[in-house]
This record gives sequence, C-alpha cells and structure tokens, in this order.
Amino acid sequence: MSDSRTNGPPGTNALRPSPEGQWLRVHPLTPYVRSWLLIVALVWGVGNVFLDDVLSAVVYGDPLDVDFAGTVQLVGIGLVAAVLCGVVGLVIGLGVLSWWFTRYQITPEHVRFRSGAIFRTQRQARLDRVQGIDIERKLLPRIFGLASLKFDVADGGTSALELSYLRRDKARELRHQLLGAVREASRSAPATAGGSRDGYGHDAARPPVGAPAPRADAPAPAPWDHSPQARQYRTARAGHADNRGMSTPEEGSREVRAAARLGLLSDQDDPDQQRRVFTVPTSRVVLSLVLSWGTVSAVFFAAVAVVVWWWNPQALRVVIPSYLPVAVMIVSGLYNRLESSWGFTLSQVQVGVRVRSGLLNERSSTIPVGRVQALQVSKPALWRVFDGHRVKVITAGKGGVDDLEGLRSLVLPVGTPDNVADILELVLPLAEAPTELVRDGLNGIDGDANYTTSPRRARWLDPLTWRRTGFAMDDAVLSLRWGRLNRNVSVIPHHKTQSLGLQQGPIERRMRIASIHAHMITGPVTTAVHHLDAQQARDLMVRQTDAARAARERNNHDSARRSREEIQ
Amino acid sequence: MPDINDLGPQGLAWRRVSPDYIKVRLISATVSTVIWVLITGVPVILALLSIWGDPSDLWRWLPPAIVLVWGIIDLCLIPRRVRAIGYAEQGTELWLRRGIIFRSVTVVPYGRMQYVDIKTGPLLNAFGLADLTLHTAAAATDANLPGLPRAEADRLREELTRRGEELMVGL
Repeated sequence: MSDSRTNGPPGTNALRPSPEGQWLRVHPLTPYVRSWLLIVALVWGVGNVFLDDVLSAVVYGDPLDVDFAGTVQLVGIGLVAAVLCGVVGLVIGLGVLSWWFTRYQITPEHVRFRSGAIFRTQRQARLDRVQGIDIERKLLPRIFGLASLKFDVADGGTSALELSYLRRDKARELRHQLLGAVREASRSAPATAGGSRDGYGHDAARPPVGAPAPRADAPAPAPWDHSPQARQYRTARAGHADNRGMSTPEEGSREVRAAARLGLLSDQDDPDQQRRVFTVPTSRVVLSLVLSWGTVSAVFFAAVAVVVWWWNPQALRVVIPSYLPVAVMIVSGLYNRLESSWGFTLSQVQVGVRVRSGLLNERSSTIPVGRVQALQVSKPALWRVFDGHRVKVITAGKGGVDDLEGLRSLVLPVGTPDNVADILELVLPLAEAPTELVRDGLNGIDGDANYTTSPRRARWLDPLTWRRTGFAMDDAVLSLRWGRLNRNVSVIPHHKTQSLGLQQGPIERRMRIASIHAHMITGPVTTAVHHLDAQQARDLMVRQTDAARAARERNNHDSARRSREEIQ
Repeated sequence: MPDINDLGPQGLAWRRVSPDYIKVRLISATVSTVIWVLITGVPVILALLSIWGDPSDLWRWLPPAIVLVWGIIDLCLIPRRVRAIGYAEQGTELWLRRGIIFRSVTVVPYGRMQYVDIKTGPLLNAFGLADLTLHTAAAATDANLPGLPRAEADRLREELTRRGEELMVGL
C-alpha cells in the first residue's frame, strides 16, 4: 500500500498537510500477529486431527481416512485437501476483512485509529496533548519485522492509543515525523494562530559566532552540547537574563539550564536526537536477579524439597505438586524483572529521557522531565552486596494502575551510585540535583545536618528503623527517607506537591508523634513518613507549605516569562 | 490533653461547620443504629415470636447488644467529632482539620484544586446544609468539608474557584 504522506523527505519535521479524511491501513499481517494464539490453537487442533492420518497415508500408502472423533469421516485426498483449504481460506479471509477495516488517520490536529468490521471502535488523540510516542516491539511482531506506536496522552485515561502494526522502519519514520507534528500542534495551540510560527523563531538563523547576545527566541543548543558555540550561547543567555534585570547571573543560568532541560528553549534540534547516558550491563542484571527475594525463596523451597527427599522420598510426590503455584509466581516475577532490566538503556532526549529495555519484548518510553512529580531511590538489602540501586518516578500522564510497576515509571532497574547521580541530574525538574540529600538519605542514620529523624520515644513503635525514618527539606525539595535493611529515599519537588496531610492516631498522640503525607499524583513512589515528632511535623508542614508556595510562584514566573518571550 | 489546634499552625482562624450538622449526624447515626440492631436482632425477634428457638438463649442477645452499645458510644462522640471539623482560609491555601481520635490536618493550595464539588441529600437539605469536597490531581487528597450552611458552601465554592483560577499552576 503506497503512502506518500508518511514517506516525506528526511529532515522535515512537520507533517505535510493532508486532506482530512484520508485513512491509511496498517500492515497486512497485523490481524494474524494480533491473534497468533488463536491461530496456534487452530493449527494445533487441525494438525492433531489430520497429521497422523495424512502421514500414515503418505508413508504407508494407506487409504486416506480422517476421523473427527467418529462423527465426521473424510475419505479421499481431494476432500481432505478441500477442507484444509477451506479452513486456511477462512482464516485468511477473516484476517483480510479485519485488516481492511483497521485504519488510521493523521491530521494536523489528531491521530485516529479505527478498527472492527461489525463493531467499530474509534480512538483518537489530540496531537497537542501527546506527551510522547513510543515504539514497542514485542517478540512475535519483531520476528515479522513489525512494531507498534504507542501514544502517551496527557489527558488520557488508562489505555493509550496504539497503532499496530507497522513495518519497523516505517514506524520509526512515522514516529519521527509525528513528534515534529506534535511539537507544531502543541506550540500553535496556546498562541494565536499565525503568530506562533513566526514568533517562535522557526526561521531564525543560529546566532553568528561572536554575537553579543542571541535573540531570546534563537534556538538553543542541546543541553549535552559542549561545543564552544553552545557554551557561548549559555553564557550569553545568562548575561542576557541578567541585563534585563530578571534575575541574578546564577539564577539566570539556573533557569536557562532548567528551561533547556525541559526542551523549552531549543527548537530546531531533532526531537529524536539522543545521547546515551548508560546501559545496564547484563552481568549486573543477572546479579540483581540472583540477589532478589525470588531467587532466595526458590533456593529455600529447593532446600526444603531436598530435605524432604532425604527424609522420605515418598513425600516428594505431595511436596512437588504443591510447589507449582509458588514456582509459577517466582518465575513470572523474575521474568518480569528480567524483561524490564535487560539491556536497559537511558538516553537523554530533548524533552527529557528515553528508556528502552527488553529481552523478548522490547519497549521504549519517553519521560518528559517537566512532568516528573517525584522520585524514589531504593537500595534493597540484598543488593547492598554490590551497591545496587533502583530508581522509580511518578510521571503525570503516565497513569494506569497496570503500569505502576511497568517500564514507564522505572528509570533505573539496577545501577551504581553514579547512575543514580546521572538520573538525579537528568530526570528531576530541578535546577540543582539533590545529590547530597539522596546520598545522606540512603546511607545516613540518626539526625544529621540535613535529616531530622524520629524521636527516641518512637522506638516502641518502630524498634528497628526509627533511627533512619526522617525527612530533610531545602528550598526546592522535600526528601523523605526510611528503612534500615531495605533503604529508601524519596525526593519530592515542592512545586509538584498537590497537598499535604498530617495524621495522628490515638497511640501516636500519646507519644507526641505524627505522620506526614505529601499527596501526589498516583504512582509507585511512597511520599509519606511516619512517627515524626509532632512538633517537628507541624513545623515541617508550615515550612513545606511556604516553600511550595514560593516554588510555585517561581515556576509561574518562569513560565510567564517564557511565554512573554515566545510572543515577542 | 493537648488542644486540636496542636496539629495546625499557630494563629490560624479556624472556622467550624454548622452546629446543625450535629443533628444531621445524630439522626443518621440513630437510624443506622436502629437498622443494624434490627438486622442483628433477627434471631431474638424470631425467638420472641416463638417461630424459632428460645428467647432465653444468651447468644441471641449478644450481637444486637454490642451493636447498640457501639451505636450509643458513637452518638455520644458525634458532637465532639463535628466540632473538631474545621477549616481556615489563608492567602494561598485552605487548611482543613478533622477527627478527635484519629486526627488529621490537610493543607490544599488553591492553585492545585482541580474542581470543587457540592453535594447535598434530603436530610442535609432539610437543615439547609451541603457537603463540599475539593479535588486535586492527587487521589490521596482527602479534603472534605461536610455540613456547611448552604450559603457558606456556595460562597466557599465561588471563592475557591476564583482563587484557584488566579493561582492556577500546571502539573
């Protein structure tokens, strides 16, 4: 099926305007790949019935006589061939029918996906709400060289729009072009029509080398660009902000850094341009799986089985079947972990970071930095042997309960402290990475310069961990830490907190302690800390409220200035 | 015993919900206690009507007695519980407090509110009251103000919406 629209020359970011209503089809193999289970079952069933008889007919020269459980008998090679052809034809026909009715449409504003011959369903996503477009390659589509495109929509519910399946190179190309269209759409959405295109400096040339101060809307170099021009751009930009009396030089550079990291300054850079930050080596993935509770419990159960066998071999007949559900649970848990950490690669892209992983089912996901709400670094007890860390984030618009433990919230399945430092720098929507807070949060014990811990009297409720349970706060983030064997620290930027709660039960009141809970968008990060001194918790609440107010104002101020600059 | 204000910041002008809300809660608690006593008292009733068993069995009386005692304790606590519900409007945040045994204080910035709900039922309506609930993007935000006078609820909604629009921030 020829499709001129999605095969534009490389380098054109914007989708060429297309006539409304032109619907395109997905790859013809799609229905078969989608319902592979059904086809396998059919082949299995047919094979079971036919193969035996056909083989014996061919090998021994017996008369062909297929027996369907005694009810129907097919005699003769012609009839058998006819029935086989009929079944195959029916399957192909249904597939073609399904393929014929599965279409997608891309307009400058929307992506629509329509399927179903009798019961039609149509889904659509507004391009200016699309947060990211991810390519997913599951095992079977991968064998056929296919891939699907998943759209993350900011206002979306639990299930994202999915275009499946396209040829892999086509999917990649379409994604590339759609990202351009998405940026186009989201840019023109808030501004008045016509003004935005010119105002955003589409045609603005790069500043000549040695220019005193670039125009405010000139394209910024990518944050990872360390060329002299880029450095000069940054200095000029910082000085520029200073000249306008907006802020001090440090603040200016901070804001520029933050804005550049949020992808708000740069314009002409390829949206897909990546810089690989790290890949988790396979050896560490294996080590992390070996040192996990799944493996430990598997070893434990195996040991029990050995003991039982040594004590009484007969008893194994009871023990082994009873292991089955546990074994399934352990294996599937380990497999999921393997899938999400195998070949895990984090790259920096314009809007944030892109993560990719997978052994059989390769998935990738884009996490826009501006939408990260909170982050949690964990150091499970067993991983302390090799100093392994896991990092998860809450991202707005990546909702869906089924996805909580999925790839989209995981930014580091198992990594070194250096990886964690990289992530803190790249993922958090902050100017200064809270490296020190996280380090103390993971390793510190008892109150120190940063952290305030539970009072000693809380040991009756919290005998093991009270010396670790604590919080720290600076101008930008609230940081909570807990756990003695499994160590955790979560970082909550003030300008992302929704509301804050303070709770106290009857026993806690008697002991003059209380719990603090920062209410965030639902996600896999714990944002509550228990058993703090009541007085300190109350003070924290007031201080956090003040700090969050200041952070929101700062943020609003920044974005107001940015929109002013855009309109200029 | 420390005051409820202990959990909130000092010098906040807490406002209470309508005293009529005590009556609403008392009525609904009484009704539900009666219903539960009747449900758990089915064996007793059957025995008294000499359909099934002997009314002198102690176990028949135990469940309704427990429910009744629990209900009476609950009724006694309601006035204090309602008086513990409070709210305070500040420049950029709304403070809410509640509870006497399990106490909580919540602070919701106006700019974080996504929408404000006002609900009322027949009983609340009879006393001219309404429930007001604030929703933020976080599901954990439990900001509910029950039993506000209708006019106050409307005023609060208008006020919160206005301030929310002024201070609106993205996610």
